[in-house]
Amino acid sequence: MVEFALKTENIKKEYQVSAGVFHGKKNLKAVNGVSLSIPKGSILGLVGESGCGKTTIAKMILGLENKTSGELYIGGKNIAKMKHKEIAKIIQPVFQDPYSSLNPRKSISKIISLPLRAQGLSKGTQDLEEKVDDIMEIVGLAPRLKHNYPNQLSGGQRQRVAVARALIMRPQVVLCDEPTSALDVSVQAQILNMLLDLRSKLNLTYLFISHDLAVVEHIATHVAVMYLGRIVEEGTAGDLFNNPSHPYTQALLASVLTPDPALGLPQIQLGIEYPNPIDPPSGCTFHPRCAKRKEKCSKVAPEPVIKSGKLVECHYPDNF
Amino acid sequence: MSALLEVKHLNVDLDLPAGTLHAVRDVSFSVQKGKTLSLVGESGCGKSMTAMAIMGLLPPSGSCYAEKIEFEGHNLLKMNEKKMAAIRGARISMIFQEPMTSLDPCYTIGNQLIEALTEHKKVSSKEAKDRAVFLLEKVGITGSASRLKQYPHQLSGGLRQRIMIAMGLMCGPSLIIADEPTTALDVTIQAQIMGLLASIQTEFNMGMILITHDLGVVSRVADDVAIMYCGQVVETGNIKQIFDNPLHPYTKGLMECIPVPGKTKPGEKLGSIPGIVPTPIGELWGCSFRSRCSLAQAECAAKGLELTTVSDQRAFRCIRDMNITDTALNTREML
Repeated sequence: MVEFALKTENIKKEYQVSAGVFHGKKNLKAVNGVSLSIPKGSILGLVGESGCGKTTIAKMILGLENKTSGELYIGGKNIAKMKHKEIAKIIQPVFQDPYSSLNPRKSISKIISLPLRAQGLSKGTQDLEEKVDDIMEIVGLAPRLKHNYPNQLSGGQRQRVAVARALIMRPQVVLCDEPTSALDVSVQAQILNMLLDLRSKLNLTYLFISHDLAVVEHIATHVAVMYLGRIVEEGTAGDLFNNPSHPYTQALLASVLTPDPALGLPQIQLGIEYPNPIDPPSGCTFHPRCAKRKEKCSKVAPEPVIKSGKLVECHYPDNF
Repeated sequence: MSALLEVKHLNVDLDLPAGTLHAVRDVSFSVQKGKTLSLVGESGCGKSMTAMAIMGLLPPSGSCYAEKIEFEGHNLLKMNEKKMAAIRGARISMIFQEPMTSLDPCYTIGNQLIEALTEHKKVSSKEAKDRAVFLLEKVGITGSASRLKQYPHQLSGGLRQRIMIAMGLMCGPSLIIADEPTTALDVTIQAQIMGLLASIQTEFNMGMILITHDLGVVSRVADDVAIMYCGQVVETGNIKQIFDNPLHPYTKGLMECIPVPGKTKPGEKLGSIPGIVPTPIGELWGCSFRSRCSLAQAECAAKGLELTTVSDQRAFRCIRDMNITDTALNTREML
């Protein structure tokens, strides 16, 4: 049986937002019933446009945001019965912007060792120093940087510090929320190579959130495509990228600009407006932007269908 | 045919407490009417400073000297501030990366669009409004009359960037400088905005300088490319030459860094350029890329490295014989 490092069952998150002075409050369904399961040692790429709920999922997994309903399991244990500190031992985050995720007033060694100190796991200064040295070597940071401050480091080095801080607890799962989008391409390649290296060295599981499909295709073993709080397609990376079934996945893939001067700009039939999640479209939420919509799409919401390991939520999927 | 914009031997220095930072060093290029020149490089390599020098918008600590910056037959270097202000926004307009910070949150879209025109031309506000409506439709915004009354925060990022493009077009410029116009946007919107810029450019026969670090975008829209590193142009050529046969190790490195669906194998190591872009402070000599170059030799540190011209537009700045084959490049071609 496959062992899952992380599993969500129909999790939902609703926010109450003001709809205007005389309209009272309205429900915003940021995450609307998401079931994901990440097998141990694999990399799940979670993709979608901004505002689709990717980061809300990340926050719920980290315990930074309470879910409205649904169940969340980490390493086989239900998160509702765990304390924050327990969750933090198993799962650690790496955020997008290493310029704002590191405390500018703390030295690098203080930043990296903070999780150990917060958990009360430090066995004296000597032990802490040794652990920091170890982890810095693993992520490829020179030991002399230990006493530096974040402003003395480049973007790539800062992101390595963020990864080191996440790994010092030796977690099972690392949650990377757009870890390379603030970095230059040459540095992005360094960080991606490092993440792949660490995965095999330390047997890690990644939840890799990104909007860059080329990066996701490169790094991920499984991919889930998210639209307006729902997973619309999920499958192994190879299958999903070679035979995309959902029209939204197809549109996303078509808009990736690969460096090839022989190709012009793609024609994308998505329209411009990402729908307002306070007021989602009826039926299939994607139908106003879908080039293949039929009458049924605006009336009936499609149910997720799973066939040979791939999940699609569409009335008229291709290659499925 | 004379070029729309010709820049020759442009240098920009910034006076910093740590010393003089040579942000742009000996940069020359020209932009033709209806063509797109792309300046490519990592952050801190002088792309934006080059644009700012052309626009006359350098920070107070910056000084620029050049042999010439000629735009439509006028030497921009000899212009006073008043004349420059008449060109800026009217003949040359700029589109910035982050549309939220470049629009004024306190004024409606209509106000800002109309001001862009009335600042430069003597037109009635009715005429200016008509032009704004016309351009909003050109950039694909429907219901433009009601949009004019909205404020920037009421619009999505993609819409705001469209407004910025419309604003740049209000006076009918002949040159557009787009500084990372799609970096802050989603991939789906990126493709649309780039398509929009390209079609408008053809329609109005404008020249464009596209500043970006995204080689994917460059390959799809640019005609000519100048790769910049550490304030210098390290390679120039037309789009086909650059992508089919990159000559400079930095250009090759950049191309190997990006995962390309269908070409790079998933899960395999990407090529990467070790280290970071050095800060060009103080006296500089030799090739600035030598500290990160896998092919560096002792001679790379020798003084005075000039661009080697291959043909009319094609040049590169490297001491290596360009015929030396690079193994990494060959393996990629085979895949």
